[in-house]
Amino acid sequence: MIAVAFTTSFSVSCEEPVVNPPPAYLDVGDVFDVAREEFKKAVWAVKEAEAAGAGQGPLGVLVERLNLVVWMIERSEQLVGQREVEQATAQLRRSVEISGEVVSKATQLREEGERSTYYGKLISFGVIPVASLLVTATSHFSLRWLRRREVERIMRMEISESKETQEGRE
Amino acid sequence: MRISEDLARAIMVFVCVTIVFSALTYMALTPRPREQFFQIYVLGENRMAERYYPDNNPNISVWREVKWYGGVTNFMGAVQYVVVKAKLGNSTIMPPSERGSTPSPAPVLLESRRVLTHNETWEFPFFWTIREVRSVGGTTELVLLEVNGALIGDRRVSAVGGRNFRIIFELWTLDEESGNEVFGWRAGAERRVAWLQVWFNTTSVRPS
Repeated sequence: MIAVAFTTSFSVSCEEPVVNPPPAYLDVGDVFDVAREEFKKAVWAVKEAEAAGAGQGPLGVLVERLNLVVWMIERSEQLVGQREVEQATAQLRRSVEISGEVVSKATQLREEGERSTYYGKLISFGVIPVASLLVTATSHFSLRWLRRREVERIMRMEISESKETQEGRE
Repeated sequence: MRISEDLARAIMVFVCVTIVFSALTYMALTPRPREQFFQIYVLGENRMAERYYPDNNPNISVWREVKWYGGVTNFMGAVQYVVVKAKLGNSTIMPPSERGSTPSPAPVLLESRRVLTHNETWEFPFFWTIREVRSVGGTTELVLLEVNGALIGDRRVSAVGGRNFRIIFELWTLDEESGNEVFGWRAGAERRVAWLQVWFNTTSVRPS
């Protein structure tokens, strides 16, 4: 069952991320809004993946992608200031695509993180009764062995008269 | 049915050991609460907390470049999106308020943005030059500034005798509840802010 689950997750992670670019009829102001909104969604997705226990390595890669989006939006603002509207719009559209890719990757990481956290807890708490049983059995048999040794020691004792009693009689 | 003394003792040991192991496992798996905060700083031209002004003279003349380095470290325990806003103020303009978590109304010179992982430090240059001042009736107005290569001319601030200007650095973050950039950050139930300022005077004399 677990193997099936992992196989399914692997096949999902191989799929191409779904990215919805902003419609072509939007002007640059609207594309800025879309780019900023998509960026925020990407930030939330990465934070959720981190909270779910995703690894620091893949998260670091996503954070670098987010910083690329930040740079692209700032660069687009500069381009608009220089009246390079077409270039700015193209830059923003690319940033929206990157944000979408980050959301997609972060969702995969979150699912993997949740799964590994779940199995980690399951294994940790599952080991407890086994460990308790081992401790109980060890203490039980140790106690029995000690008791038997004590009994055997007593049984090996010889009855003899003490020196004080002999001296007293004399 | 009567259980033997040994079995009763074994059951007791099993229950006690299970309780102890469960508590230890829970403690190991539960993340410890830690203080959540940001660190913000500004360094001088040597990337140290010194030499904030050219020749250590806080009277900045026109066309004299001032080199600072701003920095932010994330100790929030999670990925954070931060914005540093540099604002130009004088002695009368309201500074940011910790009590109301309100930012300064001073005009913004520069906004720098970055996504930071936990424990990551981000440093950015803040190089600025006063390009033009105007003195009218004892009041000096900063007409044109250059910040990181960009000319800024529409955020005019004046001060009597050109004294006590300041650049205020405010730390803004992306708020989870509102989805907007807000001044400061949320740490549990309370709201915290971080800001700092560097004072300077200006003279209309051009360096030789």
